[in-house]
Amino acid sequence: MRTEYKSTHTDFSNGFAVEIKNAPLVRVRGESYLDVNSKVFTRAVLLALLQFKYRYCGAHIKMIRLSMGMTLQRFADLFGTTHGAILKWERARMSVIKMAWANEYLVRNLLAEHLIISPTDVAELNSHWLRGPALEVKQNIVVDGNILKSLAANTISQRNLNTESFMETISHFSNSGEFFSDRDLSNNLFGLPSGDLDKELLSSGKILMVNH
Amino acid sequence: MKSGRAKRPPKHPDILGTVRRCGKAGTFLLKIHGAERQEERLVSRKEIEYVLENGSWEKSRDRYSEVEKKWSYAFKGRTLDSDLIRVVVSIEVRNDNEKVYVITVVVL
Repeated sequence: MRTEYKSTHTDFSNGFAVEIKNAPLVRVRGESYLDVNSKVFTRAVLLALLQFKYRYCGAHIKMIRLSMGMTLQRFADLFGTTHGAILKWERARMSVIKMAWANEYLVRNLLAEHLIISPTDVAELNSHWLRGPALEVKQNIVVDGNILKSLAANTISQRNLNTESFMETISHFSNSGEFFSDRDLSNNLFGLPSGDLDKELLSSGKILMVNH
Repeated sequence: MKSGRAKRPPKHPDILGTVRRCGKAGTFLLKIHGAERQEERLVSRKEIEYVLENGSWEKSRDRYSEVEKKWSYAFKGRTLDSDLIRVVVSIEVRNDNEKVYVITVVVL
């Protein structure tokens, strides 16, 4: 069993294509498998999705929902809709869904909160997204293999929020209108650093988002 | 000369514990067949992870591969969306390092 690096490997295990640059593959009995921790890989893809400039597809929504550990009904409750509506989005799979802008905005903010990215950075990311070109174009997500290494080296367990408290927090701040105004929301509420490593990676542009 | 099949190696001593641990830590690999079936049957990586972590071991569905000389173990469980799936895995131990390989995924 030995690890080798492939310049580009496409993974479909999340329901959509993710291109991994410099992908670590392990060779066992003549077969090569992607040798990456599943939690780390999921986090890297979610970070890539957060910076994705184009409209989300159904498969993206499903991955985000499952990563937050939410059932269809719980996710639907956030949008004031039925679980059937969410299912309809998700069944579109790789097609761009006709989701209202406001709903997609909420999905992106929920994702950012899940990844503990500070609201200021979220606002910055969203402004790029809203100004982004060719929003209907379907593109692959691209993750750099070096990012996977960096994320694996970092302790990711402390960043995995309890979903219950997370949802309480969301509803509290949504009601009070403070949700997007508190710069250090993550620090204040969870006593955790607001994703220092992730911020660094996002700002350095090491997580590549789309093929142009 | 003694006839009959060769003696099979014993099963892993802690199957449920190992698979749950690997599911929780995310240290499982998708074999090529597993990845293909997963894509074909629309089962995502997160759902496999969830079943490995929370599913139950179907002891009666364990199989021994005479070709690979290895046991495979079946796990069944419901995903977050209440879909019932079965995940077939094998366990490999090297230098005290346990790895779970997902062989296939079936939607029940």
